[in-house]
Order: sequence, then C-alpha cells, then structure tokens
Amino acid sequence: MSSTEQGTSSAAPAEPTTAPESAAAPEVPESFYYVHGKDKVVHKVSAGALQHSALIHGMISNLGYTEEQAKANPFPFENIDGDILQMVVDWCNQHKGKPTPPEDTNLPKQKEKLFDLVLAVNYLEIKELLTYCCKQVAMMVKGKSPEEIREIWMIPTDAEDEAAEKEAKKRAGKEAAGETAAAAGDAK
Amino acid sequence: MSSIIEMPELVLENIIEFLDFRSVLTLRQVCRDFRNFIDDLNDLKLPDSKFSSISWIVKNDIRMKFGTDGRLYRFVYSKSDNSRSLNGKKAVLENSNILDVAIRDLEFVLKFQKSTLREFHFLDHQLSNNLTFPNLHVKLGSMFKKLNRKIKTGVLSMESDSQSGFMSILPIADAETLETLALFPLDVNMDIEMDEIVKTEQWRKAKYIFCNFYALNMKVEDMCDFPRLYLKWLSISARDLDFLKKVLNIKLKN
Repeated sequence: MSSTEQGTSSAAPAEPTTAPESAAAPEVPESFYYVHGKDKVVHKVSAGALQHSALIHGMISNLGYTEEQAKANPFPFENIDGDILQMVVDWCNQHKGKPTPPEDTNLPKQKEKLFDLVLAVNYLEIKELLTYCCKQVAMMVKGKSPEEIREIWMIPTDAEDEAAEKEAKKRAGKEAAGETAAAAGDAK
Repeated sequence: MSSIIEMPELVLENIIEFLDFRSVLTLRQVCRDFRNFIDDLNDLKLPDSKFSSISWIVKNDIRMKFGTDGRLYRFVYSKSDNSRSLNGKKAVLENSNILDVAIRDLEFVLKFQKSTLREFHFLDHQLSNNLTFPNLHVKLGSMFKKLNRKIKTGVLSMESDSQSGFMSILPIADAETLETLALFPLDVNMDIEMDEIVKTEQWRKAKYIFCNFYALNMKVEDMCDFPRLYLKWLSISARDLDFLKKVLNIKLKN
C-alpha cells in the first residue's frame, strides 16, 4: 500500500514538465522491424502492428534487436508472394492496437489470392485475419452443389486425383530407372 | 497455386466450422479426401445444425425426419428393397445393411446437433413377436455409446411395448434440458413395468410426464413431485390412495 503511494508521489513531480498535449503520445518510441517476401521487397512495420502475428511477435521478443540490427536483418518469408505479404502488412497496420471488428469485407475477391493469403496468414499465425479468411472461403461454397464446390474450390475429382498419382508414380519410377541406368553406365 | 486440399488441417477445420449442415453434407460428396476428413473430424469442430426436431418411426421400414420448421429432411429406409430415399428420391443400397445405414445417418445428424432440440421422437411400432429390425436396440445402444453425448431436447416422446424399449432411449436424453416426457404404448390397454424408468434422472427431473398405459411396479412416491402427470394404474392400494390424498391436500393448500 505504502509503496504504491510512494510511486505516485514520486511520479507526480515529473508531470508538470511534460506538456499536456504530448501526454496522449506513447511514452516509449515505437520500434520498427523489417520483413520481405519472395520478391525481396522490404516492408518497414511497427512492432505494434506485428503483434498480430504470433510467429513474428515470438521472434521479436526473443531477439531483442536494436533499431540498426533490425534494419540490417529483415525477416525473410521466402514462401510468401510479395503482393500477399503486402496485404498482410497493410492489414496489420490498419488494425494496429485496435480491437478487430466482427467482420472484414476487405479481403481479396479473387479465390487464388484468397487461398494464398490463407496459407500466409496461417503460417504467420494471425488468428483474427485467419478467421475472416476462413469465413470468406466457407461462404464461397455455402448452398452450392458438389459440382459447383469442386469448381469453386478447384478440387480434382477422385478419378483425376488417381490419374495424377499414377502419373507421379510413373515419373518417379522412370527417374529411378534412369538413375540406375546412368549408374550402370558409370560402372562400365 | 494453392489448392484447398493442400490447406493445413487446422485451416480446413476452421473453414468447415463456418459452413452449415447442408453444406458439410454436400462437401462430403465432393471427393474422397473431404469425406474422410469430415468423417474423422471431432464433433466439436462441426457447425451446429440447430435443428428443432428429430424423429424416428420404426415399423416395416424406418422413417427419419429432422430439420427446422423451414426445411425438413425426410429419410425412408426400406428393408424390402434395401433402399434409402431422401425427400422422395430413392437410391438402392446394394451391399449395405439398411438398419446400419439408418443408424449411421442418425449418428451423423446427432453429431451436428449442439443446441437444444425442441422435440425428439422415437416411436417403435414393432411388436415383440414380429420384429422387422430385431437388433435395433442393440445397434442403437452401441451407436449412442460411441457418440458419448447426451441428446439435449425439451420434449422426449417414445413409443414401445416394454420397459426395456423405453429404457434403450430414455437415458441418452439430457436430464438438464428435458421438460416433457411422454411414453406411449402400442396399445392403450397395455401394462408396462416402471421400476427402472422411475429410477432415472430423466424421470425425476422432467416437469411434465404423460404415460398412456397401465403402470406396474412403481410407488406413489415416485410420482408426487411433478407439476403435471398423467398416469393410469390398474389398481391402487388403500395406503397409496391415502398417501396421494395427503400429498394433493398439501399441494392444494400451498
């Protein structure tokens, strides 16, 4: 009890020195980190915005980078396309420190982009955005027939699937045969 | 390009949670991978079907009806030609046991039902000496055991010709949500043993009870806690009658 009182009393003298209008500004200067995708385009993102990504948040808190170190070592996400990473960064910036709305209608309408975004967001562990994306993916097929779903979600039929598997096996078989033939040739 | 099939399981689970019963049913038909994935999914990951009623009527065939007020699914499972029909569309199932198919479908429906049903009807019109589906209750019992979940319903109505028939369904109803319990015999002049039924949590917790047969082997003490009860007895002893009078007097005074 006494310690908290002491705390407030010691903080009190500092108050007059800070201007009232700057009181709303964050006390700690914001730190920034850098990320890039497959296209190597580097994005500067604040730690606050990156909080949405459990993966990046975990990396940051373990590293303890200084500003210079962060700039020199951008996080490489080679598995994410540049435009998709841009979408993710934009979303994180827009929703920085804000409670996320129950719905997000600002997601890509093009299904290929949406699927890529789902994979990226799942990898980066951005829970809310993943929920919105999954909802949008689900809504695409609600009330549709099996054939329509197959088309919308680009699902191969079981027959196509089996044919593709056979083809892959054949190719693998050929390659193996080729290799053994080459090895036999080497031996000669 | 990313295909939906290559999505991680967690993502697919998330997507399926946003669908509804009908869409998941359709998705099962799309391809083998989806069918297996859905069938292996934990009940918790399935969307709530929010049906208001489920009913089963067993006679020469099995009729299952379920849905909401707006949309009803009507299944008929016929043993004579080993077929299943949905809303009049018939399909012959060559190598499957029709009872197994019907029970599997019921299990599937129950897996989606998370909210409380308004009513659950289970009417077994089969006579004990002439059973079209002799293993019905054994197979149902093992399905309920596998489901490992109580059915939340406000009304439970059952028809059977024996206590064991009633007892194969009664314990799977969630006693917390059960308000009305209706037991029908195949014939109103039938008498049915009650000793096991009155011991159930469902009997004790229900608010309204209706038994349209002659109840045997139960005490008056088992029936004085209900706001409303309809019951027939063949005979009543002077002691029991006296007890009932006293209970009623106390209730009327209050």
